[in-house]
Amino acid sequence: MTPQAIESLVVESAHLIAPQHARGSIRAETSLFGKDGILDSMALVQLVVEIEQRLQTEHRVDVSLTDERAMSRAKSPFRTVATLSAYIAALAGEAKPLG
Amino acid sequence: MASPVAVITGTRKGIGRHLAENFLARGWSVAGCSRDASDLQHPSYAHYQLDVADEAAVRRMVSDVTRRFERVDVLVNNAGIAAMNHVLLTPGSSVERIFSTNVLGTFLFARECAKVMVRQKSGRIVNFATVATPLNLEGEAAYAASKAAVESFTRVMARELAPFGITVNAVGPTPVETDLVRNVPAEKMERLLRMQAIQRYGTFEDIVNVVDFFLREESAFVTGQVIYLGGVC
Repeated sequence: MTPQAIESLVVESAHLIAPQHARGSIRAETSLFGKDGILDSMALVQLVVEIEQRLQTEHRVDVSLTDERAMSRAKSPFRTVATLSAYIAALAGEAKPLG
Repeated sequence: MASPVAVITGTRKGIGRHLAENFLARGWSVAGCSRDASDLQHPSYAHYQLDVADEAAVRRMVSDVTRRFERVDVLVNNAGIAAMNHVLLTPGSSVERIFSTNVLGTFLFARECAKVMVRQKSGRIVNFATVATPLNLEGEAAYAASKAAVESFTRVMARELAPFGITVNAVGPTPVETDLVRNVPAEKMERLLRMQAIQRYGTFEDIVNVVDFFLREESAFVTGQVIYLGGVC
C-alpha cells in the first residue's frame, strides 16, 4: 500500500466513525485523540477496529494496531492522521501478507 | 436475510461438535476449530486446525472466516480443558495449559470476533463457564479458577461491547458424559451430582437450550449473565 492509500484509509475510517467531521476537514495534521482530538476513547476503539478490519478484508494485510509497542511508546501513534498513517505503514511493511 | 454465521471453538467432538451439527441442521454456516483434524463434512462447514491460545492463528482464522462468510453473527467459546488434581500435586505447567486454553483462548476468539461484530453493530458471544466454580469443587482448583476468570471476562466484556449491540453471556454446564468426565471415579461424580438441585448428568440438549436462549432475538436485553444448569447457584 502506498502512503497516500494508507492516509486516505485513515481519513475515510475517521469520517465513518465521526461523521460530524466532513471528509475534507480531516487532514494529515488533524488531531485524532488527546488534546483537541476529534475522537473520544470509544470512537478511538471503533477507529482501530475499522482500520484493522479494512486492512484485512480489503488489502489482505494483517496487523494489530494495539500491539505492545504501540501501547508502550512515549508518543502515542494515535495522535494525528499523519502519525497513525506512518505507524500503519511501518507495521504493514513488517506484516506477512494473508495467504 | 442470509443465514447466520457462527464460529464455534472445539468442534471436533463433544458439545462443540453437537452445537456445530445443530446449527448446520438449521441452515446456518459454521466455522469450527480444534487442535486435530475434523471429520465433520458439510457444505456450510469450514474447519480450522489450530490451538485456540495461538494469537496469530486465531487472527488468521477469524480473518479468513470473515472473507469467506462475510460476517460473524455468533461466537460460541466452547473449547476447554480440565485436569483433576489436588492442588499440592498440580504441576505449574498443567495450570498454564488450562489457563491458556480456557482463558486466553476465550479472550482471543471473543476479541477477534467482536471486531467483526462491532462493524456489524450486532453479535452474540456465548462463553463456557462451569458449575465447578460456584461449587468450589475439590480437585478442580485450576479448572474452576480458569472458568471464574471466564465469568469475570464475560461480565466486563458485556459492558464494553453493549454500545455496539453485542451481548456476552455464559452457560455453566453440569457434568455431561463426555471425555472430560470419563476418567473421573464414579463415586466422585455421584457426590458431585448430589450437590445439584436436579441430580442427574446434563445433556447436550440442556446446553443447546441455554445457548439458544442467549441467541434468541428477544434476548437482546440479556447480557453479562451466567446461567448454571442443574439448579446450581
